[in-house]
Amino acid sequence: MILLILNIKIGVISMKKVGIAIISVVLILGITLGSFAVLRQVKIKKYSKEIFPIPQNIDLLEKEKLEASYLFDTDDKELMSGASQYIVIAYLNKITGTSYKDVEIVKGEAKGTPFTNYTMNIVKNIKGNLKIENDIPVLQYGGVSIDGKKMVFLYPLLEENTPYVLYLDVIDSDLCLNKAYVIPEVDSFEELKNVSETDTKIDIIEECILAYENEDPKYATRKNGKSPYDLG
Amino acid sequence: MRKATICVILVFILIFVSPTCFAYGPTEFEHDHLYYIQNQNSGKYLTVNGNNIEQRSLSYNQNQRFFVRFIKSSDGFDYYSFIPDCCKGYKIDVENAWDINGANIGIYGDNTYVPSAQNFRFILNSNLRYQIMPEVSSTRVFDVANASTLDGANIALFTRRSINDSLVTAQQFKLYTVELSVMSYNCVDSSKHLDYSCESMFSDCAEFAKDTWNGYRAGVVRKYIPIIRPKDISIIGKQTLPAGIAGITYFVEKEIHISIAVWDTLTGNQRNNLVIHEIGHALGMGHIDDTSNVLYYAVNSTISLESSNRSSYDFAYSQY
Repeated sequence: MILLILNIKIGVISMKKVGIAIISVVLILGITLGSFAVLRQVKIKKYSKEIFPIPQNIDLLEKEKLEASYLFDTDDKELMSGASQYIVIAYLNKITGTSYKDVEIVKGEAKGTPFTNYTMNIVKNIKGNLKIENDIPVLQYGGVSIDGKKMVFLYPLLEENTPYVLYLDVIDSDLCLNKAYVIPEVDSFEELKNVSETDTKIDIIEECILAYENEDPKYATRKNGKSPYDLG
Repeated sequence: MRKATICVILVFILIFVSPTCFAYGPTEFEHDHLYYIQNQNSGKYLTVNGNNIEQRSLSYNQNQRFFVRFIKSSDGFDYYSFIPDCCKGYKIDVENAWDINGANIGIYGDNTYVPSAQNFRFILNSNLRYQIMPEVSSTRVFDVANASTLDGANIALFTRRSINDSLVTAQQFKLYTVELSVMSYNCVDSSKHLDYSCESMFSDCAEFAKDTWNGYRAGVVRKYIPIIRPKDISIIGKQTLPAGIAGITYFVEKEIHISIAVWDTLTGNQRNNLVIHEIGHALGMGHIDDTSNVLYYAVNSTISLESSNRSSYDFAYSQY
């Protein structure tokens, strides 16, 4: 009888211990996996939100031209006008760094598409109605790869302190570049303002305005959101 | 009527049977390019068979392509070597460096003892026809044995004929550039396979693209199998591509990005074209400036390979 009681007791104790052990393992596993998930999210957030400074050795980085398949001739300004949400005359100030979109963590390593960040001073809207304001951020597809080892680009990076006609779209509420044309013979922001306020004829600006007036929306494929700088 | 019919047939032959149908014509050669070399008399092409050079009908195979490399200028002549595309490390070579009629033309490893047996100069006759003279001789040139027009006829040295000689055409050769567009990047693994994964929306087109490329060179493009076949490239839909871009091959991340916004607007053939095109990039091929080519820079409805794609693929494959 005593033996039987002891046996049951041992059984009860064992069952309890096993139960505690299982719960402990589940908890440890849960906490570990949860931590990994949190860390993963933190990493994704970090790469998705931050603008990383351009490394000093940028000129020494290996350059990789991305190979693309095009939907249309992107130099056709009428088609590009139709496909773009905004067209502006702007003075591009400076590169502020590289940010990344579509970030994911694969085998602990961050992957994502680099975008080079600039600030621009908009002087005039050709299409759309963006704020005429200084230091508006604008992003160009391509830049320093997320591992910092390469420069990847589709089109050459834009030049700092240069006036441009910029064709833009909104991606994740950022103004992103589709196409850019340098405005020649204009050396400063003040000069660009004067040009846009007077009737001075500059071929590339005239061409872009005329193309917009005859825009072809055949390839307006993206369902864009609105830029926070949109006054419309 | 008969004359008209003959004319039509002649035009047909000119367009479809003569070498102009290759989408490239005979070329004033530039060194460091790959060429098919055609005999004027027979219309056949120099071909490597074992260690021998003979003439054969065009097969587009690597044993008919020769890389023409500039070697030196000497005594007022420019000398070149011919490196067969099929046999790297070999060059066209004059048997034992003999300067006699009948000295055989074959291929041989780098001849460090008599390098002049592997150096040749081009003598322009007319209409982009050349006689090919080795450095070891000043009187003899490449010649098709007995001016034969048959497949397998041998190439050997023979005394150079004058342009007025009716048999000179057996000594005249035209060079046709092999249209190549190959990049320094590819995503092919060390076992010469491209194992892809793709999002379900692209799976039918990826399967079609796989069959298209494998139809020329079997078994290279494969669907990735976890653990068994490591992934070489992923086909992923993206919302972040600039306007006007349908797809991008991204070698750093080993990914093909396809614009979802564009994808939704494409026809079935255009979608297949786009995926064949991007997988072509992943295999190491660049754009080809021909509006109806699968590797034309813009999306089109072509879904089959052309000779330029096949030769580019061969060349890219030899670099893996």
